[in-house]
Amino acid sequence: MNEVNVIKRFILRALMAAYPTPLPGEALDAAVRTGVNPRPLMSDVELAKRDLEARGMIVGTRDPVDDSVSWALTPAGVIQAKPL
Amino acid sequence: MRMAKAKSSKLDPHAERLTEWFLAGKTLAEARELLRQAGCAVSLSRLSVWWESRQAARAEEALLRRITSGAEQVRTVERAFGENPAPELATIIKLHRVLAMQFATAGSSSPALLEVSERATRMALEFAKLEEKRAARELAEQKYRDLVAERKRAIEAELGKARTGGGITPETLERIERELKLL
Repeated sequence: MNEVNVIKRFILRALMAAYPTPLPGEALDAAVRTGVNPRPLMSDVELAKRDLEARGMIVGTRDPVDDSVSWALTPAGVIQAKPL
Repeated sequence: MRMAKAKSSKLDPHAERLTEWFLAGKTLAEARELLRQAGCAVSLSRLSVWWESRQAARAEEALLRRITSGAEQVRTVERAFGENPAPELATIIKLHRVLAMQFATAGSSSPALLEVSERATRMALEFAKLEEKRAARELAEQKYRDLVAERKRAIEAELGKARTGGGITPETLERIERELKLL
């Protein structure tokens, strides 16, 4: 399993742990940096998030006031994350 | 998307005992000897790799539990503030969400940080209770003002009738009107 797939797997598990509460972007990034060993590059974390988003498994919602992004699982993401 | 699961190991059936031994301070060599006596032969390097990966898995599980706990705190606070909180309350809720989840994800397992997070949740809940009391008090005050206004209207109506009917002296009428102005 390559690095990005390890990160994707962890992102799904982290969002499932918080489900149905969305995780603020900073918190998700911090969780990935703490939970994935060796500590991943932020560029790989971003790549993993974009890939999961493109596959319809996670969704990012931007706050109109401060532009911060929160991440949550989609129903497809829940199905994928449950057995992990 | 296919994601491989962790490979199983012949040490997995002994995981509970091994964890107990290592947490009690046994060395790799001592654990290997105890395993050998239990009928499982393994090299020191393999045992070391297994324990390292086991510790990483335990740390990950602990992190995920903290995320679940942080999310539960967030939901408790959101429920306490109701469905459509005022904008200033929505800001507090959001701030609490970011803090609670940051503490859960980046705060490692430090009891001090977790305590700060729990304290922030308690403060937010106390604030929600105070808001609820303030709203209840404002409602009671409004009800009282409505009641007084209604009584005033009723008395004024009765006074109007008395004036036209002549059933009340001018002095009494003046006194009642003066008191009515105080309401």
